Amino acid sequence: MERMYKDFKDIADFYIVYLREAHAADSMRAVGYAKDKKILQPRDYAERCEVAERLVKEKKLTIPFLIDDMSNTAAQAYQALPDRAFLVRMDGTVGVAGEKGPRGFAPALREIKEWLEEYKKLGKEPEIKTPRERKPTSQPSRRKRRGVKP
Amino acid sequence: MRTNTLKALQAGGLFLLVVPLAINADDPRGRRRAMTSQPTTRNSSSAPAAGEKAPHIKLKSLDGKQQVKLFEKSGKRPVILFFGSYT
Repeated sequence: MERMYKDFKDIADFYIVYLREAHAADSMRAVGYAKDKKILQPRDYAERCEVAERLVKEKKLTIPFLIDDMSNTAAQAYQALPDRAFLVRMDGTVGVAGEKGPRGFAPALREIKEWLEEYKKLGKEPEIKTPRERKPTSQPSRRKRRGVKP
Repeated sequence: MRTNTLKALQAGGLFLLVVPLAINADDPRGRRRAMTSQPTTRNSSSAPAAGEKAPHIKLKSLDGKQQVKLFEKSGKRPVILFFGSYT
């Protein structure tokens, strides 16, 4: 993430959107390092900023941080919990939509990097590739083949 | 008279035939999905996919000094968003 930011920050804007803690020490799904470091679920916006600040310092992050509100509006809008990555084109459409969670994050990073490399090379935004999410559209045609009106 | 009832029966039969077909065509996946994993289906369906408009968001920077409004107007540069938390 930081590497990509350093490589491409001259041609794109990067943000880390800090969400509610996924595996805080006081949660049902606490992870070991959350307990070791006593990372608790922030109860208000100020606490959320404090934990975010710790994260920035301890991981030495330089990507600008934005903080989601306590109603988790951004997380909801992007279905982004526990983590997720997106690239948005200049016209406001999504160029790369990562899948949710740690399994989706690494492939999304790769895809974003490829997109940015192509953008740099071409000097314009790459075409949108057929997204995986489009698959459901094949269902109506199967229905049509059966000759039954939806 | 007899032909009339026959016709009515035929029409009724046809109707009965069409209805189950329509239900089958509409539903075999949908209903199963709804029963087993409704929350995840709802989640993935409302997440923005490639090619769709990115939802507008308004967020404060960590130092609280900046209010960042994203995707309401078209921008000059692509934007990369990493969503996550410490844990």
